[in-house]
Amino acid sequence: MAINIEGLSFHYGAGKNAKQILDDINLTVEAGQITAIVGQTGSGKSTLVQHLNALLLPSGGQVVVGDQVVTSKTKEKALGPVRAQVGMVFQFPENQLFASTVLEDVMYGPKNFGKNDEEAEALAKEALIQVGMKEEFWQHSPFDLSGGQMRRVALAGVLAMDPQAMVFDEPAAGLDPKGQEELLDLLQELKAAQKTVVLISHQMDQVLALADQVVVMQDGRVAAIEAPDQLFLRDRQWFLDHALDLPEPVAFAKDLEDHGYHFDHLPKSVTDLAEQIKCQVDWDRVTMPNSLTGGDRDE
Amino acid sequence: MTNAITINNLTYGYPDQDPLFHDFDLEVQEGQWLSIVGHNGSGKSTLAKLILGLLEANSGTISIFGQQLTIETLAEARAQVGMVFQNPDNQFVGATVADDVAFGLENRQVPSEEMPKMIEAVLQQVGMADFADREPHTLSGGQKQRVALASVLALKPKVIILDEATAMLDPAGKSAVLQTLKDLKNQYQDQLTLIVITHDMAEAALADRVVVINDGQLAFDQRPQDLFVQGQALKELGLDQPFESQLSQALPKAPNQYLTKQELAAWLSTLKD
Ligand SMILES: Nc1ncnc2c1ncn2[C@@H]1O[C@H](COP(=O)(O)OP(=O)(O)OP(=O)(O)O)[C@@H](O)[C@H]1O
Ligand SMILES: Nc1ncnc2c1ncn2[C@@H]1O[C@H](COP(=O)(O)OP(=O)(O)OP(=O)(O)O)[C@@H](O)[C@H]1O
Ligand SMILES: [Mg+2]
Ligand SMILES: [Mg+2]
Repeated sequence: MAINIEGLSFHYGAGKNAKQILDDINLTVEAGQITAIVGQTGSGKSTLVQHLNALLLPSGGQVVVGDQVVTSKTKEKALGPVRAQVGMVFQFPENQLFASTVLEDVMYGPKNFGKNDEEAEALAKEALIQVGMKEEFWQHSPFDLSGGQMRRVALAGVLAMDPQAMVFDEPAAGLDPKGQEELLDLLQELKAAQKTVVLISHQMDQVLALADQVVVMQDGRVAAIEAPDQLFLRDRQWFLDHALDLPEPVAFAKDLEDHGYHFDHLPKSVTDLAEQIKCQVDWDRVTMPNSLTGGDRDE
Repeated sequence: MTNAITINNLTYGYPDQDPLFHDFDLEVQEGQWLSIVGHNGSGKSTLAKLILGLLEANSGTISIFGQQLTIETLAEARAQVGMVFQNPDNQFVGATVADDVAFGLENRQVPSEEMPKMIEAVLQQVGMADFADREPHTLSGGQKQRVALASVLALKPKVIILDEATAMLDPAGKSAVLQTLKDLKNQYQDQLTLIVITHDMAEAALADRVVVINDGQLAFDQRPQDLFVQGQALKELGLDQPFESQLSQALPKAPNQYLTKQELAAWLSTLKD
């Protein structure tokens, strides 16, 4: 299911106190793809994605979710179907947890959208296992959890609901490295299952590894929409101007290019980078010094 | 050298749960830059809250600059330790961003005529001066983290604890915060103790010492350059190596020690000569 954003603008407040947050946004979130949204702190990413499931209504323009059009005038009653099709994991997971136990919290989504208790429980348990929440936590209050555990429960809530499209607002924040790796796998599995995925992230390595399309936001406007292979070919200054960074493997490769190395394609991961370096060096001739820096580096 | 923090035989468990920490010991010397890493739920935030006296140990002792934490010494201890919480929403007290910074200063009895200048300066430092009159809860995620940091920096505490305080910053904001920490460390040297809880191994690598917590136990306590060569052990604890160590390991040959990104690139460039 694709989502079309057409001439979207959004402001808080009214009259002369109105504060413009989004300005003339036009983009398509393609069905079955992973769209990454990146950009500076405060550039409007979270505000933008809250329009994808009608948590916020446009001040101007429209958002077309599947075959439903949402404008400033759309009545609350008509928003239910939109919200059933687009699940969202918020930037701060605490804000979406509410039930008295972890299990009930995750069961809420499927129940709300028509599953009976038994079905909802089965879906919830499956989702909790998928995000690495052990059974010992299922009867805990979702508020008596560590930060990363809350994030996992919030993720499970959306997985259990199984909507057509899913929006993840900085889902890696607070996850431990293993959890972050599993998150990458999870998003890829969702794509393989033909879900439409939107991911907000400050981690360019993730964006490069996952995204089909990257939307760069700046000051409430779209600064670029490109495939990552295109985007990360831009020069460093452009990324600095947008408070962004190059993915680590790409930045490292660019440094090596100044020293005689050549890269056929943008390295997408550490492994990819290492493979490309490997075939450019005659390793049999490399002799290892006992100590490179003559002792400890901070001495 | 004096200890900023001394934890002895600490046992703590949340009500109705098995103890998370059991006979736990940790010393943090004054002036040290310590990183704490560990998988989700390993006990990092709990430990920070115990140090701040927000949670009370079941048994054992925690001392701040040699003074044991008790009901009587709590206020004095807290005046020396500033913490940025994992969720900034849990720490805002003011109706506006400026009020939020002012609140801590008032508690420290800073004369009111000096306050506006100090507030302005610290908001400037984190790039939030234009947001002084905003309600903290309406800020974006990264803006909240910046304000939370400002409120703590304003107090100039002798010990700063950051609990994943850069997790939602954009890349530029993150480098700016890390640069601020380095600058403060240069300025105050041994007068400032930093404890940084993080899942970002590059951030952890900036410390003098990294402590790995695993289910309430100290799994490792080492210099980053010694810890980060142990890829397999880290993986088993749900952690990972920083980029440069991963790359070193993926190459057919590499020096048998931790190299920074710059050092690794420099070494690789010698292979092309
Ligand atoms: N209720 C509100 N009233 C006024 N301004 C607001 C309100 N909520 C958000 N804003 C402002 O809108 C802008 C965009 O916020 P948004 O949360 O969309 O940013 P973001 O790109 O998600 O940033 P981050 O990466 O920090 O999460 C910010 O400057 C923010 O301060
Ligand atoms: N208020 C609470 N009541 C009961 N149990 C809690 C509470 N807060 C945390 N816990 C539990 O204590 C353990 C340690 O939590 P803590 O928040 O210290 O972990 P952490 O290392 O900070 O994890 P994360 O990386 O996810 O932030 C977890 O298993 C968690 O579920
Ligand atoms: Mg946001
Ligand atoms: Mg924590």
